[in-house]
Amino acid sequence: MKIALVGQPNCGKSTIFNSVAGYRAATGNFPGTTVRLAWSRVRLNGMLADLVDLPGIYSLTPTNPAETAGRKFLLHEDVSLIINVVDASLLSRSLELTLDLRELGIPMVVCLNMMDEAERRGIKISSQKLSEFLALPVVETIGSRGVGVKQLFREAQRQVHQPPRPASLVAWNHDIERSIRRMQDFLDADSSAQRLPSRFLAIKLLENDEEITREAGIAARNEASRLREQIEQTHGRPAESVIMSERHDCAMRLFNNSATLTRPRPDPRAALDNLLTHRKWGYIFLAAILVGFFWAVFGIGSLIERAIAGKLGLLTALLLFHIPKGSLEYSVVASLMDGVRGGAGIILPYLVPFLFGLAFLEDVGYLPRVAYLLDGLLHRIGLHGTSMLPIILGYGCSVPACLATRILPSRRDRFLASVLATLVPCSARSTVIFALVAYYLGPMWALGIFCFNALVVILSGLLLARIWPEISAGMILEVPRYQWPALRVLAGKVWLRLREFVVLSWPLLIAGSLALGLGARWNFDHYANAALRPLTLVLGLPSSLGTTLVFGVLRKELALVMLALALGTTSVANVLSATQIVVFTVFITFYIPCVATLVALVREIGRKMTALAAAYTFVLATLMGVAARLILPIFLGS
Amino acid sequence: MRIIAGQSATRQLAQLGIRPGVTLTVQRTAPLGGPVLVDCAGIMVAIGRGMARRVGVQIIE
Repeated sequence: MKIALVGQPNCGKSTIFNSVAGYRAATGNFPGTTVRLAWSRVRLNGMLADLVDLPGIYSLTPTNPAETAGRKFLLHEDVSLIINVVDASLLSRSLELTLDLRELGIPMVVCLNMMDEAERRGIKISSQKLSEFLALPVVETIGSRGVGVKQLFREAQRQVHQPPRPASLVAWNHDIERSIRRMQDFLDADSSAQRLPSRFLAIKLLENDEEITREAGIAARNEASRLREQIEQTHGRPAESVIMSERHDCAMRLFNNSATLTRPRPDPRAALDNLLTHRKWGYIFLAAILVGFFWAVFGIGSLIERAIAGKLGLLTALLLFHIPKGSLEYSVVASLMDGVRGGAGIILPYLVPFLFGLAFLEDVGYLPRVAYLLDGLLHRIGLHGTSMLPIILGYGCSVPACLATRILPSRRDRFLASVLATLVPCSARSTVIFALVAYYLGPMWALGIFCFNALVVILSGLLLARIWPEISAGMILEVPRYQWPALRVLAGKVWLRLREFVVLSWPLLIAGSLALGLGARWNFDHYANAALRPLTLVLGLPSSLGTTLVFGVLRKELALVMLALALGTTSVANVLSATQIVVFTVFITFYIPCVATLVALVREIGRKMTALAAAYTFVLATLMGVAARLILPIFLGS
Repeated sequence: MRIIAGQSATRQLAQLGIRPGVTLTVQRTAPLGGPVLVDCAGIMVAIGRGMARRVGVQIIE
């Protein structure tokens, strides 16, 4: 049995999902975060069900690939029940989706979420009246505090076998209704079996929905265009627009009949926006927030690193105390412990605060503001503000960033945004920057690398936009109000990304460290290093670092730990010069995305484009590495 | 208010409540030819300058 959570972006779907699914979905306070369908098996009073969190959709007529994915799921996946999550503070707009969903004929429960927010805005809603008018059960919830969630799922269980009943207030204008009926009769008369309700199909055909029109037979298509013309003649504007405003009027009618407006309480968040999106202060705050974020991550990270590293070193010494040096056991235990130490002592301390900070910025709703601030700038490189969202997500992990490009309507914008998003240092690469450059050369150097990277991303954007010119359609992006994210949701999100490191990268890291340790014992690494000698030579790095670069393709953070292993010391500064540290970091930051990202890229932009992107990043990384090698000694004097 | 834009953009705007006949309040504009932030019945929408040019409005005080 499948239960789908459906709602408009930012209505709090994912929060509700998280509160029953046990932290298994990613959430974000901007349109289109859940582009990957998160699902979880849940037990509802003894009944087993698959709860699916669909991407936010504004209506059942999709305008971008993320919305198309959501609709496809609803139409073709045998959904037993829809839980329509509605932002109570935006009730009239949200009801338009509810009306659309009703036509699918799937059992449905309306979840009136964010009741506290509605109250603050002076909107008093009678859920009982709304339920009567819609002829659907309505449950009030405050998802962020878990209020009403239990009742919601109890009601859901009760409704599973009850398709929506017709409701009088949800009627269309007389002549539109007649057109819909006629279209419906036409479809019903058609002998080919329809899996979808004919009324839903009829409405979508009159709305000139691309996909549905394409799949309809020629006769149905002709009939639809005839009826559309008729509507256009009577109303003086396209049928699509007439139907849309009909639905809007209907939603307004429902709203007026079930809600009363009182004076809203003053909202301090408006004052906050006066500063954060100000023409001048907005940019100053943006810079301050980024630098502050950076300092905080580095400060907390190095504090934890110092605390953990000593203890782990002691543990290793204890374990190795009784094993004779030079024996096979010694190499095995020592390299295994190196892997464990690399994960716990070097990577986790930076990764956790970084992911936490990024999740906070995402959920609080700051990212759409960044998109707003930077749209003008991005237009110069042929992109628009919405493309900024996947690129910022790229700082967390390139894989969800590639998937998030689906919120962009144009194929070319998706290509550009996904390539640029993979160039941005993800949390693994940031860890390398923090633990290597910031730790040994000072945080200002690390900040310099981040700025340099941003510059290269901008220049790459300019270059790619020139290769594939297209006039960008322009941004249309809802800027949601600020929300204080629940700690529970943030923790869930951090865990979701951290889990990947703990169950996937860390074991790989320990295995890799073992392979390197044993390889060194039998001199295997020499062959690999010899093969990569041209590259290390060009970059001016010790040839023993050749293998570490290979590990970096598997997972970027592996390169860091392998670096310490290959050099045979954790105090990198004794062996590498400052220039070499920077060159290594710059190369790691730019060159070929890790395996997981390559897979995601192939899915989003195709094999050929991915190969091109990988080649581009490799050339770019080599060039940047060489440039750093030549230029830095002037500043460093070494 | 009139909107002269492609079907997809018109739909996108309409979904956010921006459709012929509604009242919009321009909250602020971003520098460097950046977007316009409009308030439409309590919903804030950032519209790129190029797109905003295609939304014809009648000014009321």
